[in-house]
Parts: sequence; C-alpha cells; structure tokens
Amino acid sequence: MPRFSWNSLKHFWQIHVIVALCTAVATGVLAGALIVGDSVRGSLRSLTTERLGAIQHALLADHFFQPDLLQRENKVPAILLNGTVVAPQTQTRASKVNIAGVTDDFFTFWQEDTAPNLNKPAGQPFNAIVINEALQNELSVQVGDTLLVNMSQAADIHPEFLLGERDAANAIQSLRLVVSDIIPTKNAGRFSLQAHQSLPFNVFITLPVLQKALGQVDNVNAIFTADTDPISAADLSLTLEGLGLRIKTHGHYFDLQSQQYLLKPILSETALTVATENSIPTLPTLTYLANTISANNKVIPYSTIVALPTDEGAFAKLLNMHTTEAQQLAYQQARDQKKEQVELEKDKLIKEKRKLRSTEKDREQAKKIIRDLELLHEILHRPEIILNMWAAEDLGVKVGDEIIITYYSVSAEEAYVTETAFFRLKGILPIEGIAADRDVIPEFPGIHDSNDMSEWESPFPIDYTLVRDKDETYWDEYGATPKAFMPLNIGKRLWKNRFGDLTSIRFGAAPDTDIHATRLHFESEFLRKIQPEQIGFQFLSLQADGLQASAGATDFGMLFGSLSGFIIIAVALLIAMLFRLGVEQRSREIGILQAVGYPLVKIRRRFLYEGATVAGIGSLLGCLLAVGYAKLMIFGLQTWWLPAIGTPFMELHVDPTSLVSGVLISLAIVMISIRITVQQLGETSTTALLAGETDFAEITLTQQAKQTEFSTRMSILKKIVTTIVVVLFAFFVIFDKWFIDTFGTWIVDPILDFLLLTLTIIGVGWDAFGRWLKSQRVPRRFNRLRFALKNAARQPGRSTTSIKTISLACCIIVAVGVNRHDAPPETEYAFVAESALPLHHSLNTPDGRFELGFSDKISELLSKSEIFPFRVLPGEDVSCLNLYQPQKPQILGAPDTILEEFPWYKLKLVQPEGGRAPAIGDVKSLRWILHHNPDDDFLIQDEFGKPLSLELETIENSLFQSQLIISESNFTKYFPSQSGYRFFLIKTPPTLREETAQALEKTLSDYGFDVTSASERLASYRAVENTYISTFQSLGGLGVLLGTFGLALIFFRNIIERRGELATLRAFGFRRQLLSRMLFLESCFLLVVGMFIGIVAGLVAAFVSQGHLPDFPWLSLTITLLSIFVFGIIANVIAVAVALRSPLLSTLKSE
Amino acid sequence: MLRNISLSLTGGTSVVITGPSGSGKSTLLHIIGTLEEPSNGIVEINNINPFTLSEPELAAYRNSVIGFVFQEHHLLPQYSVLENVLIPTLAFKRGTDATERAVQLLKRVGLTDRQSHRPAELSGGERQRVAIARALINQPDILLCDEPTGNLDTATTDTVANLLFELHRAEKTLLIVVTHNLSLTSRFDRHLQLVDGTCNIERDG
Repeated sequence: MPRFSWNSLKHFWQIHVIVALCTAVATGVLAGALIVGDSVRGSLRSLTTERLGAIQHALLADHFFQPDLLQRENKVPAILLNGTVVAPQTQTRASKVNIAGVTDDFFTFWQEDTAPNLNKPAGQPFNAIVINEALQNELSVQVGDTLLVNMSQAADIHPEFLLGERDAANAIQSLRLVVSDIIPTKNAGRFSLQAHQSLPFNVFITLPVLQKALGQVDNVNAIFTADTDPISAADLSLTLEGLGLRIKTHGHYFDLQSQQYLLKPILSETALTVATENSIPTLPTLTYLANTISANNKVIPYSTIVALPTDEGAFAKLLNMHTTEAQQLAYQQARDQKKEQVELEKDKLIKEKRKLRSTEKDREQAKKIIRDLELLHEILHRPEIILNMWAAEDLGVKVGDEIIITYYSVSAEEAYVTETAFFRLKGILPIEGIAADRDVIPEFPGIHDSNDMSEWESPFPIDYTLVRDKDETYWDEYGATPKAFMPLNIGKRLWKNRFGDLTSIRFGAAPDTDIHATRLHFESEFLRKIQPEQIGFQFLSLQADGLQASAGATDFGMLFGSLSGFIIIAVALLIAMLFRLGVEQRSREIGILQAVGYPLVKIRRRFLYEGATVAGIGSLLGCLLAVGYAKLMIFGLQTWWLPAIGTPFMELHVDPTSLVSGVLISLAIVMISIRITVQQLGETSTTALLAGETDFAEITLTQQAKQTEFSTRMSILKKIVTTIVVVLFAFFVIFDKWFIDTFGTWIVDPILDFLLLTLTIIGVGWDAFGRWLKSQRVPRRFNRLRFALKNAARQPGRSTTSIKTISLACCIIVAVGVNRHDAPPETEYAFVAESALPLHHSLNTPDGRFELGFSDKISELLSKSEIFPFRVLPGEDVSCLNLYQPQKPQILGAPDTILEEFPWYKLKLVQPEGGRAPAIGDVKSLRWILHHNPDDDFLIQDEFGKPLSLELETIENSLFQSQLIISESNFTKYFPSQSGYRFFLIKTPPTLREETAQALEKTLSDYGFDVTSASERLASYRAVENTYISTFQSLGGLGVLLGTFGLALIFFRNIIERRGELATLRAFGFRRQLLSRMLFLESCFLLVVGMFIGIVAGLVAAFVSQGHLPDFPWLSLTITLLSIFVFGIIANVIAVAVALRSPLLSTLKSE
Repeated sequence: MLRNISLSLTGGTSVVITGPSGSGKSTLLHIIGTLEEPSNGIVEINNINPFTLSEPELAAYRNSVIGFVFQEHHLLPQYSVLENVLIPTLAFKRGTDATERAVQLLKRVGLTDRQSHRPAELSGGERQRVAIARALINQPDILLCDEPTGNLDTATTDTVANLLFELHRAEKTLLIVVTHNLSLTSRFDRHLQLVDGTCNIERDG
C-alpha cells in the first residue's frame, strides 16, 4: 500500500481505531456465535462418547436370548431394563432408572483402571448394587444403604394375553440390594442408550444376580461390542429355542409350539409357508380355555377346547368314523328346524318393522327389531362344535343340540370379560386318536403340571367351587385333553388376538422322506427365512448414531448467529456510518485529488485499502473477542438461559473453521459497508467536494430541484409499482382463501404472511416520514416545535437511516417479543403422569383400582377424576427439551375413550391401509426438532422392521411436544408386544388435585408413577421458547443499544457540521439552553418516530397474522423498549452536551 | 486585538469598517453585536452596557436590538425561505405573529415568489437577501453586516448593497458593515479604517 495511505491511516487514527474496534466486535460476535454452535455440538459429541465409551455397536432385543446367539468375539452381554428404585431409609424414590445387569467386562469400555465394586458386601444378606452420583443425589443414600429395585418381571407370555401375568405382585420383580459403590455421573455412570443431555439415573447389578431374579439364567437382552464392524443378521445364529419355539417329535409327526403360548403371527406364517413350499402336511391348531361348556342347564367347568381344520385330515376321518348317518340326519334336521323357526320369526319382525312410523317411540322399537334380526341371523348360522364322549354324556346332549360356551377375553381396559358363544353339536367323539391327543396343547406353567384342578395357579380368576369330583377325575385321567373341538376359522374368530392365532402347528413327513429328515429340513428352511428384525432384534450402531444425533436438533451456531444478528447489523451500520463520516471529513481531500487528475477508481481503491487494513486488524482482534463472547454465551446458557439446554453440560469447543468463517463473514460485511460508502463518492461533483459539501443526501435534496425527465419517469414508475404491490397485498389479505386455492398453501405460510405485513407497514411508515421530510409546505403558523422537528430534515439521509434502523430493530424486538408467553399456560388437563413400569389395570374402574392396590377411600377419590391411559413405544424425546437430533421418536397410543375429543378424532379420520396410520404431532417439534415438513408422512419402523408411514395431523403448543401419537388400535397392531399403559392424561377437579396426585404417586410408587402438573409440563416447553426470546431480547437489545450509540455519534457529527447555523441562531438571540432543548427534541423525535413505526409494525403484523393480539408480555417487552429509549435519550443528551461545549460564535467570523 | 478605540454612533447612520485581514474588523463588529465581550473598556447601546446583563437578558437584548448578516449566509437548508426569515422570532415568545412582517420583508427584498423555496434552490444573491430579511425581522436598532457581499459577484454585490441601504433608510437602523470592497465605502455616512487594532477615521459624516 502506498505510503500515502499509511499517512492517512495515522492522521485519521481516531476514526480508524473506532472502525477497527467495531470490526472486532462484529467478528467477535459472529465467530463467537459460531463457536457457541461448535461448543453445543462438541459438548453433545463428548457426552455421546462419554456415555458410550468404546461401545460401537449393540444387539438389543425385546426378549431374552442366549448370548451365544451372536457369533462374534469381543462381545459383552448385559441385561438392560427400566425401573424404579426406592430407598427405605431415606423414604425417597427415583423413577426412570436404567437398570443394568453387567459383568466387569462392561466397564472396560471406559478403560477405567478398576471396575466399580459389584461384590456382595461381607456380612450382608443382600447382593450388591452400584449407583451413579445423580441417583445418589436423588435418593440421598450412602454406600451400605439398602435399595429396593423394582422392574418388570420377565415373562414368556404377554401380560395382555389371557394366560399372561398382570397381577401387580407377580408382574413386578423387586430386588433388595445393598449399595456397594457410588460412581461419578460420567463414563459408565453416564451410560445410556438414549441420546439426551440430561443426567441419567443408573444402577449396576451383577449379571448373574439379575438373571436369577428374572428367571432368565444365562439369558440377556443386550450385547455390546467395541469392534468397528457392525453387527448384522449374518452374525446371528438363530435357533428355535432362541426364538422361544420348541419342536417335539412324536413318531411320524412333530409339533411346533411357542413358549409364549401363542405362536407369533410372523413365526406361524413363515412355518406354514415353509411347509407349503416343501409339501409338508400341516395341522394348525388353536387351543383355548373355556370357563364353561353348558347345555340342558348342565355345566362343565374349565375345559380346553381345540380349534382345528375339522373337515379334513385325521380329525375329519375320526369324525366320519364315529358319526352315524342318523346323527348326521339329526344335525341336519335340527338345523333345518331352527331355520324354519327363524324364518318365521324373521318375517314377523320384518312385518312389524314396516308398520312403524318415524316417532321417537317407534324408532326405539325399530332398533330393537334390528337387534333381534341380527340375533336370528346368528342363530341361523350357529357354528358347529364336536364334544368328546365324556363331555357329551356329562351334559346329556345329542347331536343337533345347542351348546353354550363361556370364556374370558381381555378387554381394552385389560379387564377379564366373560364372553358367551353358541354352537350346535355336530358330533361326539370317543377319547381316542387326535381327540385324545394332548400334544397339540402347549404347556402352560401352573396348570399343566398341577395334580388337581383345585391346584391350578392361573393368572385369571378361577371359581374353584364349580369344579366337581368328576372334573378332578377327568383331570387325573386325561389331564388337559380337550373336551370340545371346533373349526379353526371359528376358533380364530373368537380368540385371535394381536399375539397370534395359532398355538401349535403339527407337521407330518414330507413326501418320500422320513419325519426326521423333514424336521431337519424344515428347521433350516424356517430359520433361514426368519429376519431377526421381525422377531424383535435390533442392530444398532450406537456410536455412529449417537455422533450423528450430536449434530443437534437446533443449530446453536445459527441460532446465536441470528440472536446476535442485531449486534452484527448494528456494528455494520455503525461501521458504515463511521466510515462515511471519515470520508465526509475528507471530502475536500477527495475534491483536491479529483481536481489534480486522480481517477475516481484510484481514489475509491485508496479508501478501500485503508478500510481493508483497518478491518483486517479489527477482525484479528475480533478472534480473541470471539472466544470471550462464546464463553459469555456459554456461561449465559449454563445460568440465565438454562431452560434452553436443560442441563449445564456445555464446555468450550473452538473449531478454527468457525473463527475463519467469522473473520471472513464479518470482513465481508464490513467491506461491503465501506464499499457502498466509497461508491457514493463519485456521485458528488468535484466543485461540491472542494466546497466542503458533505452530506450526500443534502446534495440529493439540492439536485432534486433539477430533476431530469428520466428520474421523473422512474419516480412515476416506482409509484405505480408500489401502488400495485400495495393493492395486491390488500387483496391478498382480504381474499386469502382465493389465493390459497389458486397458489397453494405456501402463500399463506405464516412466516411469509408476517414478513409481508411487517415490511408493508414499515414501508408505509418510512414513506410517510420521507414525504414529511421533503415537504415544503409552509405552515400557517411557524412555532418552536415545528422548528425543532423540522431540523430532522437538515440531513434527510441521516435522519432516514436513523429512523429505518430504529424502526427495524424495534419491529423485530416487538414481533419476537409478542411470541413470548409469560402467563402460565392453561390446559383442560390437571396432570400428565408417566409410569416407569406399565400398568395393566384400569385406573378408571373400581376393579382396576383394587387390583392396583388402591384403598376404597382413595378409589373413591380417584373416581372423581377422568384418566386417559396411553400406550408407549419407548423412543427419543422430540421436543425442544432434547438437544440431540432425535432419530427414533417416542410413540404414544391414544385410547379409544379420548378419540371423540378434539384433536384426537383426527386419529381415526382415515381408515388406513396396511403400513399407514394417522398420527398427531406437535407442529413445532416436527418442524424444528425433527426437521420434518408436517405436510409429508413421517416414516418409522413397526415392531417387525416394516416401514410404517404416519399421516400427520398437527397440533400446536400442546402437551405432546415430546411424542408422536397414533390410535391405540393402530399401536397394538403395529407394536403388539408393547404391553400396558405408561402415559396418562388426568382431568381432576381443582380442589382435589393435590390429594389425587399424592394418592397416585404413593400407591403406585412401585411402578415409578410420576405425576406432573399439565400446566408445568407446558410451561417447561414454553420455557425453552421464552428463553430463546429472552436471549434474543438481551442480545437484540444490546445490538440496538450499540445502534443508538452509533446514531448518537451521527447526531453529534450533525451538530458539529451545523455549528455555523447554530452560531447564527445564537447571534439572533437563541440562548444556549434553548438550542440544547431544540437539538434534544430533534434527536428524541427521530428516536420516537423510529420506535413508533417499529412498534406499530410489529404489533399490527402480529395481530393480523395471528388474528388476535397474542398474550402480550408487557413487562419484558416494555422493559426492553424502555431501556432502548432511555439509552437513546442518554446518548443523545451526551452528544448534544459535548457538541455544544465548545464556543460556537467564533465560527461566524469572516476573517 | 483592538486598542484605543472610541466611537459614538447614532441611529439612522450608516458606517463602513474596512481594513486588512487580521486588523480586528470582525472582532469590533462582534463586540458591537455583543457576541464577544471586550477585555477592556465599555460598550453602551441606548445607554445600556449589554455586558452587564445576564445570559438570558443579553440574548433577549440581542434578539430585539441587533440584526446580523454574515458572509456565509447561514440559512438553514431544511426550512423554507419564509421560515428562515421567521427564525429569530422564535427565540423569545411574543404575542404577535411576525409572518405578515416576514412576507412584507420578502416582498421588499424581491423574493415574494420564492417564499416556499428552500435555500438550496436559490442563487447566492437571493440567499443573502433572505439573510438580510431575516436580520430585519425583529426591527432591530442596529444592523451589523460582516462581509455581506464577500461571496458575491459584482452585479449581485450591487443589488445586495442597494437593498441594504434601502432597507436601512426605511427601517431607520444604524447600519454597520465590515467589508473589503472599497467601492462601497463612498456610499456610507462614515468610514472607519482599522489598522493593527486601532481605528483611523477616514471620513466622518
């Protein structure tokens, strides 16, 4: 750079120092914001590596399996469960505790020198438990204290199936353990499969102890590995046992059955497919337990009934063999006779119905007739049943008689409901052949191995008084041998459920092979066809997924960049103003350079070089500031703005790229500001420059008088375009429906709506002010007020810039501020409750409450509340409370009882085809956390690894920002193995709320039942949003304060430039005090007009785009705006005082 | 800067002060105009020593007794011509509306059709005429002009000078003009020449 410029730099050092400092601030704020983003991402990444240690991949399952299933070296098996922990000594409780059954190998993932002490403490009757500090703080316990750990009992049979265990005492496994060690909440102490920044409650128990307690010796439900190779289906050596299946060969056939009693649909379908493909004969059966088989007022209690193909194979053969022609005829006659009766009855009812009129009474009668007709239809199509001889004799029935069966089903509320089914006896079989075959009936512990029926230990209620001696004799002689048989399709219609529709499949030998060869071939083919994902295995790349999620749902770099936007804009404007002042100061110099023949390009370049040097030095200085600014922001996030991140987990992470980006962006901004200023140099004539004329805008004003024809045309064109835009916009606001229909929904995008409105109002405001400035109308009366206000037109360019800056800033602050909701949120629900362990009984019925252990008094209290239970598919929190990018959202199944209420009815709007389900999601969670367009379907995987497309309906500011919701019927269809209810919405009268919450938490403490006020839950979501807005207001306010400082500086400069005029006024008798007052009034006028335009634009835009004024946060917004106003006033007072300090009158002398 | 200057001037006369640069012409004018206080000596106008007045009283005194025309016209660009003329009337609240007088003055300086124009739209001579009208708005006893034609060409200088004398006679003011333009001096009743801060009376009317 020429020495020439270096001298200039030195000569005008004050202004250059200020420009450099401003650039440093811009760089500091920009790079600092990016560093905040780095720090959030870096901290989330650190948390991920900390919580997972060296774990790379995992095999997880929704059931227990043998670790040998995974054919890999370097594997660490474990059991992972959720549960609650109670500390009896301190009377404290923690729910949502991660319970891990591990070996010492597990801790090697964190390369710690020693594993925590998991040894049984000497002299203690109880086994050891290691807890993390987070749990210690929650429970206030020490090493040596006893803890009670509650978790779901592992069961083969699903709790919601008839034979499943749901009794609280049996469904929950409690373990008493002694705290042997407390580890810090880092490394293994922070271990969690969930990507969330909050501190987890972790307990570790030795694997064998947990396996024994759960009755799962040698079994686990998770395997981890530090190998970098992902675990895949190929690594799994599936076995029938591993799938919970067993095969028993009996001579020339073998039976496939499940430990879960019902064969999972995927398994039975695959088995039947393999059989068909290999021409293996099959006999699928479904065995169920009838409470009673009755006829002729005689009752047989508790009998097994088998549904099977009755018109083919061995059974048909046996039936034919033992059914006489007379019996066949009797069956046919009974049916025909019934048919005649039914037809007669039917005709009578139809005639009766025709006579009815449309009165209220007749309508009721018509309904009754329709019901009766349906009943007749059922009677006409009564299904067939075959009894064994013992049962037929006991009931005294003959072929063609009506047989009634009662059985239990499990209702939607998980209560046992007694159902009744009517049959017509088709045949009677001796207890022989397949009718005597007990092998088709899967074993059920507690029943199968009982010596007597009176010793049955079943999960469902049994009335032992019904059991007669002859029943015991039958049990002694034939055991569970079925007493009745029915066609498979009838059995499926009655007893099919989401867990399956077959209990056993019998396979015969394939053609030309023996049974052993068939079995071997079947097994290998069957296992080859089964995909592990279909049966509840998950292959997870924990480390990679975790690191990917660490990118975060919210880019804090961009967030803080935008939040600090005002500071950056203010600084950019300040730099532009300062640089412009610098250039203006030197207008004579520019004039001289031009006069002596310097080309304009060179002069501009000279200023650009100077600017670049100053900005370069400033931005380097800014790098230091950036780190300081980032530290300050991180400190803010850990303290003042903690709700935005939930847990103070952040550390400073500086990515050099961010620094470089910050420097480059701020340099670009600064250089653009300078470039624009320098560009305007050429617009001023050399003579004007030599005369020292400075304000470009004033010159424009002068030149206005000499408008060219072209500029007049342009001005007319501008007016026409503006008018068209305004008319179009007004049309759009009024006829928005037509616009939506024509142009689609993008045009009414709320953000677009808001922006258009704001810009229009602001534009109108600016235009009005500009017109007023230019107005030459002479008022009828010229007074001091007009005199002071009209001073704003002295330098219209500067005044307009001031107004624009202030109004834009205030508009944004108001527009953002009105979205802050200070008032406590209201909801019709009193509470949201979550249970760590699933509840299988209804809280809405006295029976359900009794089963859950509520006393009569509390049950009565709870009857005053309405409780909506939701099913839960564990997953990640998709609300703003989770900083990680969620990949597998938590899904809720909304109960049918709530589906009538808004907005739940949306869940049943569509009857979905397979693989699709309507779902509800909170629009903010979808848009900002899941980064998903709510108009598109959201894709998840069902329990069988198949894609499930969620058709989204959105709600806003709801209690459900953490989950996606589908209907319960879809939930059980796509996630059948998830049992019970773990999420509750509770409506309670206000006076009973406290009492109800306490009663629920206390009685259901073993389940880890946590009740939260619905309003508080909403407030926690809002707190994040409010915190962002507070952060914006703080940083934005700071930016505006900086801006007002800049404006004051400009004002100061204005006064200095107007010293001659001010001195003239003094000469004409204006006192110094009067001059100060008028100048102050002038500056306040600009501040007030700017603020007024901005505030009105912000409020009107919010009002129009939302249809009403949102809950206005008067306090916070008023404080922010008042601070801006007061600071602006103070800055102006100082500017006026300093500018008028030096003697004015000397400027009037001509010599 | 000024030494041994003793002057007595009566209303209705016109005085021109000349002298080389730095001789103290403007300082003398500023002292008479009460803009600067002399370090020594007494100034009395209408038997009042203005420098004994308080700041507000002095401002009020200057506002009503003295009118100024400067070399730089110092018109305020944001106001119309008429408003510029009216500015001195705003310094103190008076019951009467001076607009009528301002319009009259503008008529007398030949700018009736330029009332609503801004100074930027006027020529140099026109601007100075506005400045003269402004100086006379409060009917001052003394009209002080500091190089009023310093920035004007010869033709315009004559016009402005004619106007000054015309108004001086009409308003019966004491007109004191500082100028380098010697061609004008013969038109004044008295001519004072300042040399090195002392006053030589060239001509005494």
